[in-house]
Amino acid sequence: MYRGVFIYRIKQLWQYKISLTSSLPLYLIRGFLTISILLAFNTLSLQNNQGKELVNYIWIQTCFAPFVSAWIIDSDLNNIIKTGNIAYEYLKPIDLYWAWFIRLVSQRLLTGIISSIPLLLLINFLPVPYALKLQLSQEKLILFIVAISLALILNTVLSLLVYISVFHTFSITGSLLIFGSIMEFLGGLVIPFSLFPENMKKVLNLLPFKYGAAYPFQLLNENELSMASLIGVISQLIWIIIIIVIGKIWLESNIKHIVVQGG
Amino acid sequence: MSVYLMLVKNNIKAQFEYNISTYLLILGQFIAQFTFILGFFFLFKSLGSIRGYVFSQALLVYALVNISYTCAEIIGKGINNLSELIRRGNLDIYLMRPQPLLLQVMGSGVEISRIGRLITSISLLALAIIRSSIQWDSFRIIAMFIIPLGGIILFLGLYILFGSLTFFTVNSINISILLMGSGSDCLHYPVDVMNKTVKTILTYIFPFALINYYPFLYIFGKSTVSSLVFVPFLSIGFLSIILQFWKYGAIHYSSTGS
Amino acid sequence: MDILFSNISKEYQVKKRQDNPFLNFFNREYESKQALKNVSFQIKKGEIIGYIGPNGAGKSTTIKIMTGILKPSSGKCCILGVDPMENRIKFVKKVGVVFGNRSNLLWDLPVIDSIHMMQKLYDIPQETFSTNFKELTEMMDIKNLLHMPVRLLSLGQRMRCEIIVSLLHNPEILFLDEPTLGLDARSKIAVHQFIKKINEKRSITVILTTHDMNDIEALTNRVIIIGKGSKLFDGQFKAIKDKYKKIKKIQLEINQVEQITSITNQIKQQFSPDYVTVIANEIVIEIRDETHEFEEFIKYISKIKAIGNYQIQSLNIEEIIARYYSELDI
Repeated sequence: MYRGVFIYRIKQLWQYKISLTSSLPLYLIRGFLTISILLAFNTLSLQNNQGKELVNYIWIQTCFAPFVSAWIIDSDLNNIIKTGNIAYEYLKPIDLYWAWFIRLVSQRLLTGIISSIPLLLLINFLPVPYALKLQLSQEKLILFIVAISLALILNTVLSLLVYISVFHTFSITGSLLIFGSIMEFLGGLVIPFSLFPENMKKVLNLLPFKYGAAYPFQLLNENELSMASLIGVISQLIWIIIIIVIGKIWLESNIKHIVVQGG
Repeated sequence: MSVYLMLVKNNIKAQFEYNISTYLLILGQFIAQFTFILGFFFLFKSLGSIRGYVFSQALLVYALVNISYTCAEIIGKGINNLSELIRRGNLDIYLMRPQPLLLQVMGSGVEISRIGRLITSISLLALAIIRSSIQWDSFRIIAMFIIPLGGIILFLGLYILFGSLTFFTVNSINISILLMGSGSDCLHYPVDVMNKTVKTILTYIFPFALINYYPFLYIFGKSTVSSLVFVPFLSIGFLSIILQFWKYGAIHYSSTGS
Repeated sequence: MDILFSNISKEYQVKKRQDNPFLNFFNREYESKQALKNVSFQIKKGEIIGYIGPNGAGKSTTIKIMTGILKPSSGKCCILGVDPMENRIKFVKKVGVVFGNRSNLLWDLPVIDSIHMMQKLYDIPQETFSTNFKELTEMMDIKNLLHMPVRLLSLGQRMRCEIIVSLLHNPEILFLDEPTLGLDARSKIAVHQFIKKINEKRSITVILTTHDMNDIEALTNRVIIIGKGSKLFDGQFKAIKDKYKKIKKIQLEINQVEQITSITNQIKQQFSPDYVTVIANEIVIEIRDETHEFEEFIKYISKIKAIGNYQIQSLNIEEIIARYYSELDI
């Protein structure tokens, strides 16, 4: 059943593959501009580590944007919730929460794969200050794959909260703008996480947003894997569970309301 | 003009029909902008100054560009609806009314929610003025008005340019959304911060240097030529070229249909 | 002469589609598709014209050319003495348009706001506006709808409002593009009556495209039929109806269902019906009431015991036009 949802969604999105690939150069431009601004700051240069790390951070963020960005909209789903067609959805013999989860995750996964892999290859060949330069070990790579996958799941369940909030706000753009800006900012997507002041970082470590974005990116920049990097994965798992529970309870109470009120 | 204002009024009225969502959007815009500025602030806090501009100076540039960008979005965002208007055939209805097409398209999509962002950018301007150590004279004060004016004209020009492309291919508007969304960030910094290619493009092709570079040379005392504050007016030339392109696009539309 | 359409042709350039989407993206090969071929006609002031044809025949292209939205590839189009492409703003003040499938009204706001918007857009003098407004709202009976948001109106109510806003500026020509699309029977009649009245009262020229032949019957004498881009007929609608007057449709009810095939075959052998179909226990036959054949056929069927009941009908208006379209091969 859930496989059906997944395959159908992928097929549907595959229709737009041209517009997906045509946005590649734009991603490239965006990353390039962000880096050129960062490198313009006087204290940064390629001599020091901070500069290199920021360049890497920006590129990984750009490549994996579909996995981590809050601004991914499934407008069909939005319409379903807004127009009250939820009744039809409810008639299908599947759990709504997981069906929606599959929808959103497949969208992120497909757009991510289409845009990130070619981009990752491309940015290795850029001229020196702009190129992605990583020192990879096997363990680091494995941990990164685990972390970015968990980040994908974490961001999807977080964005599900945004969709569920549409029951109250009636506008995905409104909800997304509020939740999304906060999520992106606190997750380290507006400015790189390392540029936050120290005591703010401490607070952000306690919130889920960092684990959906900055945490996997920073892994790749670390010289040596430490216990702290492993703890991040555990935090990711804990947050995923917490947010799934919140989302399920919230969705259920909304649906109960609709069933009682008659949508 | 009164027709345009009437269209705008109706449009705003319609947006407030959906009360919650409009207020939510205004709030959302405010928050979005606020996080952005916070990010800007942290950037300078941890990285110091940017190629010859200290924080308060960069902030002044940022605020003035942002005011222009936001105002242009409020009045010009409707142009992004053009592909939708063509696809649904509603453009034909506009063509049947005895008013300029561009005016109607713009009037149909005023983005009132951007008011939320305008509030942040104006308070930002106030902050930048307070924190700066500029020696105010009449030219510098006039500049505070000329720069946003020129900026609105430039950003509107971009909207109209991308809108005109829609007459040729309906998909082009996506590009404009992406470029205007993320590409606009770099317009908020003075062009001489950028690398050379970007700087050339922003000086000669999309002349944003007119608003974020030349007038500030005088304002920050890097040059003594006071007439530099009138440079933003040159943006009118950019706009008039683009308006010709719009006209050409509209004629193309009427010879090909949709 | 209000409308002069002479030798109008319109070609579209259509991108050749390739199966491979990647190639398609870079593909710059175009095919030209002829939407209108040398169409000419003239329409006098005060006429109501039905402009009909099957889907994709070129109806909307014609309307778009007449309203100055589209430029013809060749030929001359002259509406009210001017080329509609020449001075758009001046031209559109003299015509009114209603597109059945898109709206001229402000969706979220009360109807009255749309009406005031039109006053401003068309720069209608207050006096003209007041008299027109009063007259039209009374004729269309929409007084109680004026303060309802458009999105809450039924389709029929909305269409009445659409027609009103298209007439506020006293146009000399009214284009109605499928104005009865999706309306219920009563709303259709209301629209018919209103168009008739306004045509008589103001002697406004009306160009009507539709797929509903009842619109044509109720409103127009003259029809223009277009098919595959060419004009195929221009004249009295009655002439088409007369052409098919002689065709009779006979429905036979068969009591013994097992005999139905043999009866059908016999009829086919002995007579030369235009058309035979079998549905459940009924045979439907079309035959021309011209020669003796028809009378003989009636005698024949009254003799067969297996036939219980029969009905003789003429073709209805929809059937006539469907028949005529297939005869024209469009």
